Amino acid sequence: MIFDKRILLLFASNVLLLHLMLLVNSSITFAGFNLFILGPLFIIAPLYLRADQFFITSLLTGFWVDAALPTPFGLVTLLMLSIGSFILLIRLRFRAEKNFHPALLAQIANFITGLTFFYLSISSNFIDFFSLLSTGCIELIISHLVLLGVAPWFFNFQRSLFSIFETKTEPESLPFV
Amino acid sequence: MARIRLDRLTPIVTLIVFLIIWWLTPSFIKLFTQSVFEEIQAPIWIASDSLETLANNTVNKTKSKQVLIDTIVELKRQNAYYKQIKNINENYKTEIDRLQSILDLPSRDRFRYELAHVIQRNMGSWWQTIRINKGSKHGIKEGDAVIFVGGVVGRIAKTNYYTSQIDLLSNHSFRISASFINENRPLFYQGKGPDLWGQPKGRIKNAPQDLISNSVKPLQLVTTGLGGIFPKGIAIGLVPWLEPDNTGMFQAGEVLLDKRLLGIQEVAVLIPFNRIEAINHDF
Repeated sequence: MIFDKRILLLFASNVLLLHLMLLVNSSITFAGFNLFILGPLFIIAPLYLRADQFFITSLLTGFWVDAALPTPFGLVTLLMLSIGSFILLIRLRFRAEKNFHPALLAQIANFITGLTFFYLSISSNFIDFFSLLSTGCIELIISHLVLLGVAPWFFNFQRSLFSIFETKTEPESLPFV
Repeated sequence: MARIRLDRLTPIVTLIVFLIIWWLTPSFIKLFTQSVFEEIQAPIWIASDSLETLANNTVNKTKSKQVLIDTIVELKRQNAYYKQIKNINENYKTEIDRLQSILDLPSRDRFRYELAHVIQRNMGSWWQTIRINKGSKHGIKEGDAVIFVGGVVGRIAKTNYYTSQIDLLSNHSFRISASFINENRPLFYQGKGPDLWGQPKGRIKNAPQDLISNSVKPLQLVTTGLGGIFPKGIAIGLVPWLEPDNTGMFQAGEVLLDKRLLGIQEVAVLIPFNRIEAINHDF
């Protein structure tokens, strides 16, 4: 069956994390930087769901993030599908039920997304390269430090949603079905 | 020889198929999808803003009566002061209208002011945008000027039905014609993003060589009115120093923007009375 309750649960939790991130960013403007914690949105869907279900979740989440951020529409969707497909291919190597591997993957996904955004911002404005590099690096470092705390909480939250709504709490045994 | 399991490639094949479909999809379908998702998100932001207002009101309720009475007294004083200014302005307006009718001049009122509340701020190193709670329903269109009590805020980058996104003055993509106060020679202003300490900044180019500025008495940068989007004389920022640019013919410098931009709450969108529609050459 294509439809799984977990698709909606993951989508809703991703939307919640994104909204919280934007709310925090909206309140810390005095600091001159944004928290950038998109990494956790990429992880649980490819680790827990079947390929078709992962695809639907990532598509919905990606479009939602693209509409919320001032990025070219489709960029986050493509990143989410690409990184997610890669994780899906090798997911047997990860222990999805513990937080260590998903948190590590979230850091990597967050870094790749940050680099892509950084590339986009310098490609449109090369004059301020060093200024963008310094502020962008600080922003990324702080975001990754915050992510160390946020990612485990978020993954536990998503797993507890699976339990509360009485869905399958274990990852799909076969990744390629 | 081990057989290749084609089913292992399902995610990759799906991804490639999606990429091909995405690239072949006409742009109007992508734009439609984007607007649908943005319109769905708009009520969430407005609800968040209402919740914040409610929380602020609740905090205000905890304040003592004496504090509220003091605030009301102060507001009454300000109200009386602004009423006097309003009367003076009305007299001026009547006089201007009278002179215009005598000289048969066109009206100077070019804009309508649409007040809006800021519901989201996005001020990182990559983006400097804000979202307001007014959109195309209120007559706002892409490119309209936005100002606040401290001067220029930015330009409308995108409009939805209920909300609009504004590119701030400090955004790298924001460019405008500017001049120094009491100067008529135009120069070029561009946003530069925040520095390491969070101060929003911009830069200017093509400043005349005879101008001198210093941090004790920095020059005030204002809009020129060229282009017709911003009226003339709206404050942009202060220029604490000028140095020769790479051509050697002009000067360049950094612009310190108003710090209130970071915590901006209320803005006014300037909606032209006689809007000239841009010709769209994209067929």
